[in-house]
Amino acid sequence: MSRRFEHRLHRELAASRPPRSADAERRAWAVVRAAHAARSPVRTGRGRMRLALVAVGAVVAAALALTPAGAKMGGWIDDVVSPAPKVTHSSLSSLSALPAPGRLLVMADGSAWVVSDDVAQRQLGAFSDATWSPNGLFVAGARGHELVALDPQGTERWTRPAAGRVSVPRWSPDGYRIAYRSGSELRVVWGNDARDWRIARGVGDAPPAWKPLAEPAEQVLAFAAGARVRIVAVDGGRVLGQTPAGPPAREIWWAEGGRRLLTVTEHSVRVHGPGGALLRVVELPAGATVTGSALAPGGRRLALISRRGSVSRLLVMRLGRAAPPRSRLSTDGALDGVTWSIDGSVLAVGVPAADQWWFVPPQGAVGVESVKRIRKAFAGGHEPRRGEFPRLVGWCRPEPADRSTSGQPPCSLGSAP
Amino acid sequence: MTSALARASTIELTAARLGPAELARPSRRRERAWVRAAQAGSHEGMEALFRAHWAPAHRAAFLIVHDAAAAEDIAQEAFLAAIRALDRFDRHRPFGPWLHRIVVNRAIDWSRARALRREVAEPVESEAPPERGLAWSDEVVAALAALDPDQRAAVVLRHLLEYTPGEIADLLEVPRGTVNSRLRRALDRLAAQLEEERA
Repeated sequence: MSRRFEHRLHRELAASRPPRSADAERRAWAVVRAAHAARSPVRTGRGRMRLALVAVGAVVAAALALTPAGAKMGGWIDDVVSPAPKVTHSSLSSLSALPAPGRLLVMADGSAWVVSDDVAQRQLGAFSDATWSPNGLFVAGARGHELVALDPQGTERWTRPAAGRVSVPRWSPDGYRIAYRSGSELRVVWGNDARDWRIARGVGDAPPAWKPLAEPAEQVLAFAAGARVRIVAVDGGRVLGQTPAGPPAREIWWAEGGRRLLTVTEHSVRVHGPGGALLRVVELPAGATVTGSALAPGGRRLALISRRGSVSRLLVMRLGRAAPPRSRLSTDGALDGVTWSIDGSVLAVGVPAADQWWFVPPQGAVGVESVKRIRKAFAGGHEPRRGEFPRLVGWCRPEPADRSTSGQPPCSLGSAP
Repeated sequence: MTSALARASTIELTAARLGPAELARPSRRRERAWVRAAQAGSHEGMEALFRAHWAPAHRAAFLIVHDAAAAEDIAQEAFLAAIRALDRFDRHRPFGPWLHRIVVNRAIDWSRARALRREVAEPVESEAPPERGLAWSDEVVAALAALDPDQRAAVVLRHLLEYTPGEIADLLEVPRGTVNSRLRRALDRLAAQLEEERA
């Protein structure tokens, strides 16, 4: 074999790139970085000192968290030392089951989709937003100036026209009402389309939040109105309370069975009593913003996505404890949309740069199960669009017909867009 | 991570990104510093290692499997395997061969599995059809694809990653004579095929 041939071979192999290598490198780095961030560093002398500092810091942070409402937390202990992660990969088509039981509601490419327990996908139709009914028997969808109720097979039950563009539908916990925004009005419609009435004008962008149904009494809704969040009994329109003026709410959650009202703002989580009194403020570190949140089933943990510079973090905050939120993982670029499995064992989060969903346990060892090529899986056979990433909007129990009480709440809602 | 080490890593990361040739191996001293930083939890150290080694690993995988999606998976999973074993890694040994051993062996396994599926007449489909980069020499790639996976691996290790036959023997855990014979047969077939196409 001539040296000349070998030189030519070397030159040709070395000079070129695999197809779309820049995209592949970007996706791979997002995954590798997260895996590296979640592993335990080697303990050196400096490492031990660092751990000691973390321990001291945790005590300081806990003390700060116990200070009165409005006190600023000195900084989150976000460099949590986690065990090395186990990372497994698959594509949606190669999964035999979701990492936790239930069905996913997904918004992708201008459509709503249901992904069933066995990972079969069903496209429900073109919608800009959608939500589960409380037991997962139906889906409410926003389609232009229409609110649509349909079953998970995609059969439309009724359609309600609205004066404004419909958004953020939310089904009440008793299953008889749907709150939705029509333009900037907040309205409520009976679940059988019999009655539709206005609750407020000029409401904020945050989706309204129904108070969990503890008693078969009045249905209570919290919604953003300017600098406050108002709490109303929807049938009579009675105002039950409001929060003090504060930064605009990005998301609103009723936690601990309705005993706490959380308002998630751009830079903080504000914890209120059931009537709106401010109890505590947990602020993000300077420069960090909240880009998403989701309340765990049972209402005792809040998942947050924070972003500072190019780095996004997935955090879990235990509401009953003064301890600061714990970082579960961090990655370059955005994390988009977070939701809890109905058994609370898994957090699902979108990673647009990697074109993946990551399923992460909220506590214990970090084991990331990544599901790849998400855009293509929801492109409906078309070339996936780069600008829109499939968003997990809710996780509901597997069989709608199965009303057996397993102790698990039937559905959990994902973060708002 | 001390700030000095972080600064050093950042400087070296910049160097890794702006290196004159993507496939050029980083110096041993620099690589040791990156590994040490990555072991200590430094994001910059890990990124420097990744940027320095991703391109050759990805190319090697692609040239062996000839499937873009599979090559990406193999290279990515090799890095994840390396991270899992990072604490046990001996910093005095070079990182590249350690990574390339994982990549090449996984790529060979993947290619053999695909060949087995072909034997039972199942259609072989990846989620994305195999693609060619515009800059690849179609002749060379096509000729390489006609070799068996072991021969492809030997050619890639020798003529892309520039290992000696002795090093290849260590990486693949086969006798050196086997490597030499695989290389000789592979190059003979490549030369014949390229000659034939040209004729």
